[in-house]
Amino acid sequence: MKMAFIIYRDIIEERVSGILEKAGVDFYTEWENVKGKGHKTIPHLGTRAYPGYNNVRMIAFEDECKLDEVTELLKEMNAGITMKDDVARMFLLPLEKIL
Amino acid sequence: MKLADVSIKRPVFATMMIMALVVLGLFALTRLNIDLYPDVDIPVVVVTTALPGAGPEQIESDVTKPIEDAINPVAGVDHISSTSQEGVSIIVTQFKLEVDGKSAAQEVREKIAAIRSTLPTDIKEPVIQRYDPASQPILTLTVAGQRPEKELTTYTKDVIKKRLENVPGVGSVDLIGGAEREIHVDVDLERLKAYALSIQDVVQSVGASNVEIPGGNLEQGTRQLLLRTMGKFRNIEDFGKIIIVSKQGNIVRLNEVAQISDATVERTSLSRYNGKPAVGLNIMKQSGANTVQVADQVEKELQVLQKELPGDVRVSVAQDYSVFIRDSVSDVLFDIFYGGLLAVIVVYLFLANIRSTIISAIALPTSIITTFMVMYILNFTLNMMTLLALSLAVGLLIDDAIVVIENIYRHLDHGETPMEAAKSATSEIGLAVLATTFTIVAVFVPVAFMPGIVGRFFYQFGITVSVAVLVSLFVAFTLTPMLSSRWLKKEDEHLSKSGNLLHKVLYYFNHSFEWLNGKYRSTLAWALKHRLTIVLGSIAVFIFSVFMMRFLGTAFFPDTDRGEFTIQVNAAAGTSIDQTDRLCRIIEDRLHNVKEVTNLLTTVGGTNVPVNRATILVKLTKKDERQRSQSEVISSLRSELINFPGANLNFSVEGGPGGQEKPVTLSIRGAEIDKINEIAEKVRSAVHSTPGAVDIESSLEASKPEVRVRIDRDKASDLGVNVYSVASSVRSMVDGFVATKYQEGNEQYDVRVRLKENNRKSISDIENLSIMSSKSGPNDGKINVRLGDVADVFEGVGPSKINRYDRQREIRVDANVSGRLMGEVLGDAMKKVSKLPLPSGYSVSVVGQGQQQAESFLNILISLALAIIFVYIVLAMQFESFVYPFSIMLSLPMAIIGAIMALIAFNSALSVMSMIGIIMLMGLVTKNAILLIDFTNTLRERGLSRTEALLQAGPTRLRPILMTTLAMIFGMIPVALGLGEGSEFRSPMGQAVIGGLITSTMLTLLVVPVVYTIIDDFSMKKAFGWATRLLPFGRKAKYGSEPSTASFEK
Repeated sequence: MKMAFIIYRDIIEERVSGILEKAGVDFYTEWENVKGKGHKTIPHLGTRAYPGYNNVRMIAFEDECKLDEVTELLKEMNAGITMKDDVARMFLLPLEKIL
Repeated sequence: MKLADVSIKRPVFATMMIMALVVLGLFALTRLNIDLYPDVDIPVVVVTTALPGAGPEQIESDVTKPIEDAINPVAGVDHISSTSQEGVSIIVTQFKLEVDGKSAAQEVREKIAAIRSTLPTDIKEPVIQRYDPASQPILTLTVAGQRPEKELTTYTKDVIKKRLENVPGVGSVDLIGGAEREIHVDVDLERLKAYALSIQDVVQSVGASNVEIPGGNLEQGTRQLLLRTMGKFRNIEDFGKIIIVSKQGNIVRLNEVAQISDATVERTSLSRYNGKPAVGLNIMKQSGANTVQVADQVEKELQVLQKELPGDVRVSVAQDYSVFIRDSVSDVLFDIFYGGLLAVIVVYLFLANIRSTIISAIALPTSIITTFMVMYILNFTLNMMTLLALSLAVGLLIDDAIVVIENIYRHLDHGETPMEAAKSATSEIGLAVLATTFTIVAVFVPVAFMPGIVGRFFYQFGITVSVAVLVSLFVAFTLTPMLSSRWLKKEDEHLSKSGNLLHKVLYYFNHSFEWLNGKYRSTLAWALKHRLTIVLGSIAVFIFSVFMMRFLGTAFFPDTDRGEFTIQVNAAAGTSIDQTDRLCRIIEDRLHNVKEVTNLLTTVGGTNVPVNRATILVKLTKKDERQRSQSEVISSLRSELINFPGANLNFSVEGGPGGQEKPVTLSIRGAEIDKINEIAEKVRSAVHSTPGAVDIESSLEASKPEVRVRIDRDKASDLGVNVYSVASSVRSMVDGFVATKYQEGNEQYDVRVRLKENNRKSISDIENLSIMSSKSGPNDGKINVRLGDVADVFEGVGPSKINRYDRQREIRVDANVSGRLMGEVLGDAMKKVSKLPLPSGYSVSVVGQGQQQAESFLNILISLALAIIFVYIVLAMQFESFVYPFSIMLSLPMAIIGAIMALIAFNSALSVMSMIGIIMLMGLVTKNAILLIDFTNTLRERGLSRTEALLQAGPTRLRPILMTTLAMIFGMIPVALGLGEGSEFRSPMGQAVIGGLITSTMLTLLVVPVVYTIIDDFSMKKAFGWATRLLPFGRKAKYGSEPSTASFEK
């Protein structure tokens, strides 16, 4: 079991939703309008200099096949984004238990 | 940007929101009234008091002065001016602008009521009116027919006039010219003497014999009958049977001492249309009614009436004020349409994409139509000022959408989808767009609330522009991102030079920007290294623009070619109506030979206008159908008629907001009329010797000849007559007395008793007039006293009218201008006048348009200062800095040079309109600087050095800056060219704005970045180190550090 955190720019919300839908992931927790900065990328702080925010999806994968599919689709999406600052990130953690 | 996000997420909601505004706007448009200018409530109260037969001096002392003294204490009185002329006193009280006109009129009414008993008993009831600039006749009709004039006048008065008075919106219908019916009882003086009767005996008998008094009711059981004494004559011949009983008891019938005739009122006015005598009808609208609607209603009624009129009677429209309004409105709509189209073409050239062009263009009609809704709510009309506001704002309304779309495109380039680009681009540019719009609002709000009369005219202008740009901002944050997110396609932006001609043009136009960007970047880099050169150059340009102002003449409002003007014919005082008419005919013959002249409407005399004055309204062919302008036609006629014998001629054109007074008007005031006259003569010669001053006139006309009766009080007392009996008998015998009214059908006509004409022609006739004595003669009979025995009757001269201003006697010297501007002529004339020695207590001052111009220019300068302060406030808020706004605001002086050069190039003057254009520029030019500095600060916050940030921001923002500026310029081109009817009024504003935009854009692209770096160098930390510790000035610490390249030349 894995816990995935997908962090992406708010404007690509629809693309991410599309990926999850395509992968049959209908379970997640979402935080909207979170601030963040990647290493050597333009931050999204909701300010005039750094406009826009990030969104975060927390998804607990029992079925890792779905996780693989989501990972592939995210890679595919990132490949199509010209601005490298705007690519989505995914962080995976081992998940011990789901109640 | 929450609003944009909601609109993108909920497109139907966004569409319906805008749709609701558009529907309401269209609904409001159908309800908006059309007028020439805003309906301005000027608090002026006019008191007109008639005292028939009294001379100007008597009117002044007995009527004008007491009323002036009564009105003066009323709260809020600003100026009182009066004219005392033969038989009438006209007092104009001007109140301070904040005073409510209705309550002022009420207070004046109460004050006059309080002194009513002290005024002469035989004055007619004072008429108190609130002056309304809109109360000029909106229509002048002429009635002509193959029947006697008296019959035609009676028919016009009884049928046509009454029908038109019932048309909704019509305030009053005045009859001009014609011959109104009146029954004359012309008494023979010799017979009167022979029967020992006085004229009063005749008046009393006629009055007493023609009465109908209700006698109460008769109760007859269940019935009640009305008792009425039928004492009114049923035909004119019956008047002859009136019995006059002499004091001796002799019975004399009226026809034995007088001749009774069905005649006409003594002619005091006449009118003629295209050389043919006609009865004129001046139609005034009710205050607040709409000119065009009322004119439409009157014309509809005329169509119905025309079918009912006798075959020979024809009603023609001689003057229709609504035509010019319609033409002007349609021409401004033309300006709006073509201005909008040009702006859209510019946008298309830049965007090279039909979808994005349509998305930006939608902002235009949406903003304009929604503005109509607000205009309706605020009770505005579609007038020259509101439409001018919209026509100037056309290029502006598309700006916000352009900036948003351009940024969306930039984001599309970065690989975002249209939806993503719409979201990110709008949130990125949102604050800058907000700031640019608010600077425009900050500029126009002070214009809307400018003090003075002119401020009232510009209230609707300022509010309309502000509302329109705010609506365009709303559209830019809702409809524009929503449509962009749904409709833009990434592939649309690819341009190719291989397509048709249009594609080639678009390709090369857009790719030339790469070259332009490169050039701009290198020039900017050079400028940043040569800051002193740029600063000194800018200062030189500003000093040059101030110097160039000397070559710019001043005028109050631009002259407008309305295709019509009037010639005031002022014959010598005492000239008869027939002679004035004869002079008018000669002038009309000359006018008929002028090929541009289409119609002539002549009015001699009139209500409160003496018979030695006439007006000829000259109508010309439409502006585009003639080669000469209205002023050229006037100049040519003026030189042709300059020495016209028998009358002074004045040419005038219909006044705009400046009013009807001549451009140059000087007021000479003091205590003694002779002294004032002496000074006035000197002032007159000073004005006369000023080049450009024409039609020079003094308000103290050549004295009017008069016959004076000086009573010897001792002799009069001995012979049993007093001054009152002499004066009243003279008036009854010469002017006549309306003894009763003769009723025929539903109409009543005056029955005037006076001596027959042969008995009142010469001075000797007046001397032979007989006055009934109170003393008895032989046989207890009353004796008649010959006027010559108790009074000296002699010829003299008296002023034809006496003017007063602020309760001092006044003579005005006024002049029109020709070939030069008002400011130049007035300035030169005043230089000469100021050298004249004036005794103490006497003064010469500029009044009328000159005074209004000085006041208005001052108010505009105050508005300009306020606009600059508000722009600073908006910028300081936007940039969160007290100092950076100064770098942006330095683009303001750069605009002035262009405005001045454009006005000089178009041969326009510095008028109220062009000055408002310069204020408008203050808002427009800061837009460019905001876009530039906002992005520079953003880049510096992202870690770029100052120079790097400027060198990146400049070329990045060059495209939207040029797009918005060119859209504004092209949007205003139709206004600036001034092609339609009344366009001269609005074109200087467009010219000033276009000129200013061109120079400020070119200069600010370099000057603003340079000044930005200088201000940054002299930031608070360096210049006001102590203050920085206390106040959060500047934000230098947050921005990138300064590389060594940007420094002052040494």
